[in-house]
Amino acid sequence: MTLKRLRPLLRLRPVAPPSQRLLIRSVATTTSISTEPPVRTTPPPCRTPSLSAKLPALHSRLSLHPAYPIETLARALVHSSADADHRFNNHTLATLGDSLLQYLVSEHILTKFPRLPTAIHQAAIDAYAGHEALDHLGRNTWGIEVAYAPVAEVDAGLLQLKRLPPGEAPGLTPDSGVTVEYAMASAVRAIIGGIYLHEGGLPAVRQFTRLHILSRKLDVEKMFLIKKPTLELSRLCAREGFESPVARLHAETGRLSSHAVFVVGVYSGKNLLGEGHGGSLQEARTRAAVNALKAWYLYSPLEKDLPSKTLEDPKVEFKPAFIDAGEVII
Amino acid sequence: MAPVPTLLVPRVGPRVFIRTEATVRRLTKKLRLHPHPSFNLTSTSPKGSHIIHNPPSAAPTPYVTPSLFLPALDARRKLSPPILPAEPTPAPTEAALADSKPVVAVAEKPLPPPLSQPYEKTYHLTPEDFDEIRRLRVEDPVKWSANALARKFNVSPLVIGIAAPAGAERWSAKEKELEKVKSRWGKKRTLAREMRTRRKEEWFKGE
Repeated sequence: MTLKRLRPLLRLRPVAPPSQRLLIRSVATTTSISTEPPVRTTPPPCRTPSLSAKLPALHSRLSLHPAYPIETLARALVHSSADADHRFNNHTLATLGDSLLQYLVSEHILTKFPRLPTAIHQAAIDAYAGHEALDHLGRNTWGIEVAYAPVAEVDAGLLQLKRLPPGEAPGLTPDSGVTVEYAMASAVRAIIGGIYLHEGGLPAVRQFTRLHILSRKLDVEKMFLIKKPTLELSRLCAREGFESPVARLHAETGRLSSHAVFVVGVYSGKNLLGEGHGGSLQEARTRAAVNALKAWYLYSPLEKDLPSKTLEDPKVEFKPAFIDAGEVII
Repeated sequence: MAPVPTLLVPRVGPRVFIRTEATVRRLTKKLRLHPHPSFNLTSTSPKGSHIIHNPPSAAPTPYVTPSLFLPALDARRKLSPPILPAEPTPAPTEAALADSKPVVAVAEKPLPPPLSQPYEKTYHLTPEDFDEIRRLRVEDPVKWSANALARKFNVSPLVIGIAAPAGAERWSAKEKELEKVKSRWGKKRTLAREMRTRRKEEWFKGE
C-alpha cells in the first residue's frame, strides 16, 4: 500500500499532544485545582522554577536584572484560573503591572498628541497595552509558550491557565476558564509588575515600557472616523475664532470624463488648513475637511515633558503638558 | 489550372512583434528626462557639500500642523506665521498723513477659486417664522418637505431639519418608499450601490 493510500487511515488515529497525555495520566492527582484549594504555604512542588530551562532563557531574553528572581518570573506565568491562591498566582503582580502600564502609556499619548479626542486616546492606549497587543508581545516577541493544561508535571516556564471551553463566553470569575489571549496579557503585565518590585521601581519600569511597549509603531492617523467633517471643521473654526472654512479648487482634470480627479484645499481666510483629492468635488471637499481636522487633532508639541519624571525626582525641572479646550462637540 | 494567388496563402509561423529602430528611438526619447532644476548647480547654490531636498510629490500628511492650528506659544508659529485678518486701523491724523511715505501696493498671490461662493449668514428668521415652519410641517409633511420650506423661507434645509424635524411617521414612510425602490434593484445595481457606500465610508476615515 502506498503512503498516499495510507494517509486517510493515519489521520483517523487520534494522537493526543504530549501535554494532553500528561493530563490523562494525572487526573487523579490534580482534581483539587478548580475546587477549593487546600491550605498551602509553598507553591506546588511540581512548579519548581529551578527545574525549568525555559525560565532562565526568558529571563535572559528580556534582559531582566539579576536581582529579578526566577521565582517571581515563574509566578508571573501562573494565571489565577490555574491556581486560585493569590499567594501563588500572578493576579496581584498583573494588577500592579497594569496600573503602571496604563499610566505610562496614557501619559505618553497625552503628551505626544494632547488634542486627541477621548475615544481615540482610549483606543490608542488599548493598541499599545490592551489584551491583544500584550498577547502578541508575549507570544510572538517574547516567545512565552502555553501549557495545554495546568497539571502537576507541567514545566514552570510555560504559561499556565485553565482554558475556556470552546463556544463559551468568559465569565466574571476565572473559575470557568479564560482565553489564552487574556492569560498571556496578564502574564506580560505581571512580568512588568515584577520589574517594579525587584528592579528599583518606576525608572526601571519606564525604561522597560519604552523599550518593549512604546517602541512599537502606532499610526494614530488611521484611527479616525469623522462622521460630519465639514460641520465639525466649521464648529472648530467658530470656537477658536478663526474665519469660517471655505473649500477652494486647487487642481482638476477630466471634469467631464468618467475618471475625474479634483484637488481641493480648505482655507480659513488665507490659511490653508488641509488638502484632499477625490473623484468628485464632494469627495475632495470632504477629504480636505477630514485632513484639516486630523491636522488639528494630531498636533504634537515640540517639547514633550513626561509628568512621571517628577515622581522619580521631585526637584527636577518640569514643563507642564499642553492643554486646550478639548475635542469639538457638534 | 491557374496558379493560386500568393496573397491568399496563409502565413506559416507565429506573428512576432519586431521592435524597429523607430519604436526604440521613440521610447528612449520619452524616457530621457532632464534632471529637475533643483539638481543643477547654479551660481547661487552653496559652494560646499549640501543636501538637495527634492522629495517626490505626495499627498500632504496630517502630522504637519498648519500654522493657524499651532498654539500661540509654539516655536514653529514664528517660522511661518498664519495670515490673520487685518484689524481695523484707526483713521490716521493729518500730521501722520503729511509724514507718511507713499504706500507701495504688494501684489498678493490670489487664492484659488472657491467651490461655492462664500456667503454671510443672515439670521433673518423671526420666532413667528419658526412657529409657521412648525405649523406647516405638521399640517402637511408631504407637501411641506424640508426642501420646500427651505425655499419658502430662504434658508438651508439643515435649518428646517433643526427647527422642525420630520416626525417618526414621515421617516418610516420614507424608509418604506426607499425599501420599495431597493426591492426593484437587480444583483448588479445592489452590489454597485453597496460598493459605493463602502467607498464613501473611506472618505470619513481619510484613507
